[in-house]
Amino acid sequence: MPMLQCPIPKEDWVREVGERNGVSAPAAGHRVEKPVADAGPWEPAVQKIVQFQHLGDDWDGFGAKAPSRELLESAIGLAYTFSQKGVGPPHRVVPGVDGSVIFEWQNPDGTYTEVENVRPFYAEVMRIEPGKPAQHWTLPTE
Amino acid sequence: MDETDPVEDSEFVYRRIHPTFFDAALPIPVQREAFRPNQNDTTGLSVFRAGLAKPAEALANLDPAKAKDYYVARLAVRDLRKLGLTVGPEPVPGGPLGHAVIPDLSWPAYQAQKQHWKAILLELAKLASADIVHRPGTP
Repeated sequence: MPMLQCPIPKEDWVREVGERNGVSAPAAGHRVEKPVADAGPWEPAVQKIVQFQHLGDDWDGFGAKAPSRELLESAIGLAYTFSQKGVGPPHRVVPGVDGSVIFEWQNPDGTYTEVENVRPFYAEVMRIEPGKPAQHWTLPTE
Repeated sequence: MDETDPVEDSEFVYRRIHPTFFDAALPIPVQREAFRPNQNDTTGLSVFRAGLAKPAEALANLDPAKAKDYYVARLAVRDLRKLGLTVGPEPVPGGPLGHAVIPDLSWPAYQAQKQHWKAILLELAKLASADIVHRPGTP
């Protein structure tokens, strides 16, 4: 089973967010801080997500929405959850135009996978293997 | 050609690509999010007809500070049709010449069938990756 298709229980995801960001008691004006623990191979991805807090609305000049602090913290938590499960880091991390955060993998065999963090603790996955129809599922898986 | 004329299969259109959605190091440099409609795209996704505008003119109504970093990709209307997409003229008074839209990719249509459209957007990203006609820093 490809590592990206491993189960992602909500409790694991919530725990990672709690440990990394302390979202249970956010202070007013709280900024998304760089988590203390190194994310290993996922560290560049985490750094990128932290940088997204500086995006404002209309960051593309055509009305794109900036991701919320809660969404960014959730995305960082999912990054750590994947890392804990041995999933390799994404090849690209980008903000979506509607305030989401997208992890993208482009494998040498042509397989394309993306995880779109749509809202806190909810992500949509699309995986397309060459010659096969797209597969879709959501996270958490249980 | 008049910008109100129907868009022919033999035409090409330009699409603006924000630098966030371009990474030359990847097999598919353009990210599919470059084709995702936002809440302002009520009638469809904006493109510009290549027969009526130069690539850089697709950036004409954008803040110059942001426009200088944009890429522009060229897409064959024939290829769009193969993906089940249509292109219709939608001139913008005072805007860059040749504005058109892909009405199938309006915000409401995308929201109604996200799974279906995500895979189509990836195909658009592949097409765009193969024909970048304007890069940041070029006039």
